[in-house]
Amino acid sequence: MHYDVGGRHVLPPGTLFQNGGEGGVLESRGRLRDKRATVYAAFVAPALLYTLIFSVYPMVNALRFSLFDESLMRGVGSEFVGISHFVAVLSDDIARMSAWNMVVFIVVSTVAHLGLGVGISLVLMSVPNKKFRDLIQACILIPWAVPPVVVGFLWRIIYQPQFSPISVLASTLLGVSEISGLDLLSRPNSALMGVIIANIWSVTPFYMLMILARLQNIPLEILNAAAIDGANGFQQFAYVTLPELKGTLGTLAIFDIIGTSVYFDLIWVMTKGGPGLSSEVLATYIYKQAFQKFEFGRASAAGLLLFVIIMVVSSIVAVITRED
Amino acid sequence: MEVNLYRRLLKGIKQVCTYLLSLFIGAVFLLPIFWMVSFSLRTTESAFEPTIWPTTVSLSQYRWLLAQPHVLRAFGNSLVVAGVATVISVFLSFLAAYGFSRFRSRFGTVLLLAIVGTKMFPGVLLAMSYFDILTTFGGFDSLWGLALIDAMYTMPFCVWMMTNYFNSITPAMDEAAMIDGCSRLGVLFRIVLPASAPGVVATITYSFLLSWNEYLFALTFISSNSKKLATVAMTELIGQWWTNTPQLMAFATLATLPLIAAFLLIQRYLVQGLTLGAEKA
Repeated sequence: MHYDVGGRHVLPPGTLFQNGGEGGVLESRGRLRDKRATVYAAFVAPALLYTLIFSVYPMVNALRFSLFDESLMRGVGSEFVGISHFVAVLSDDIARMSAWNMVVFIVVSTVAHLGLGVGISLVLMSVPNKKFRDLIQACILIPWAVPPVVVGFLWRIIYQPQFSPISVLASTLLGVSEISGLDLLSRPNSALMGVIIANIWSVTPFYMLMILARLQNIPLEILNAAAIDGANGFQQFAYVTLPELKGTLGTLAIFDIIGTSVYFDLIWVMTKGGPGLSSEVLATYIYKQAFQKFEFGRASAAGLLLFVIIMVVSSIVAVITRED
Repeated sequence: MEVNLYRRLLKGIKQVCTYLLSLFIGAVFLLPIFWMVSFSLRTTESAFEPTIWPTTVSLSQYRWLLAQPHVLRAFGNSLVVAGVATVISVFLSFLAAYGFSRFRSRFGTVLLLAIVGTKMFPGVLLAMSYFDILTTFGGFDSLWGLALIDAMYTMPFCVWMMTNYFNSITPAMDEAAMIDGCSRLGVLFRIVLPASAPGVVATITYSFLLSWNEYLFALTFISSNSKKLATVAMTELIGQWWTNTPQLMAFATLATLPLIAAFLLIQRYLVQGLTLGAEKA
């Protein structure tokens, strides 16, 4: 999709990063064949090397851990055990429960992030005053910059009846002296939900901003055309805006699934997987196996399984939401 | 006439509702932050007062925290680790992004996506190998070891954002400078860097923010008290039986507010850098 502005080939905002190889705006680059490959390598190699050392090698190493008897600290135990770590993980009830909790965590978070992202974006876009809109947008963005550790503390306090701003507000504004059920984290059946709510608060701003940026790129003509054809607000949203957003939502969903599946910090600060194992997810399970029990083999096996599952799920989402 | 009035009334009501709704949304997102700051201004004794704003505003928590050598050291450690990690990560990404943006090829795109794709590797999984690497090379329980790892942690973002920024600068400028006898590196530092300065500043800030906020590696790879980072030192204010909540909130405010301020300054460029490429990856 290229726009022709004044005879020059210009890409619409939001499409500048094209698939390589197509040339695009860079058609004139042919003149610059100065030892291209060498120069290219010189620029890209340092970052690639760094990635090889600190990302690729550690993954390969994790595979090694998972196939050998790495049950103790380094140096001890290097007996090949095949897939027995994987079998152990798959037949571990705690691992299965963590995986289930993780699925709940991912599904609820992703739906909430994207749903709220779209909703809030639409509200913001219908605010006529730009200064006011920018102010509200800045307020909404702030949680994005807050460290997960602090997010965890803040929400632990919110769930604590004697310190919670909710109970203070309720007592000063409504005269309600006690709100029951506020202490989500202390009960096994609501602890995970408590963490999820904190996660929704902290990460929605990011998704909202991405969705807002995409929404602002939808050409007004399309919406106007739909309005002229007699579409009401809801129909415009369902038949014009949403299809335009589909690709973006798909990309963001994948982003969220991957991000939430490996998210450790928030849960660790809020519940450490408790009470009991009620909010244990695979990330905390792996961490406990690795750095509390030093079962590197089993932890690596669990981590690799997690990675493969997430890859598969992401691919499925990518196929479903692919734009034609 | 009457219909017209009715319509305008309806529109007015709708607008008021929009304002109220957006105000409410803003307040919900701001409330926990407001609570953090207002709580940090309480004295330890007034922690249980059920008021929205402390009856007597006191800086005693800050005064106490800033007089503690271990608190100051924790902030210093965070500053060093996040600073070094950012320098490494931004420098490598800066070069790589220029390469990716100016020598486009299918292979280059694959490499770019490979670097960005490493974000899919679970941190807890990598942590085990990092532990292995760090203990082998004496980097365990050291700030430099942690900085090296944090640099990898932020690099995918940096490469992605800077490639997008560089893509938005026309290569015609490079060519003109090279025809005038400028070298590739000269082009990079004299033409591309100034032209993309806001983007580079945004990348630096965000990279710093990411490693400042990082918790998992800071928790796992630092064991001695004198090397603890702010995020980890903060968790140690939580007592087993009793926690001085105003003090904890004062610590959290110190660790958070400066970065929120920086973040709000760069957010426009950050969104640009992230969304320019988000179209279809």
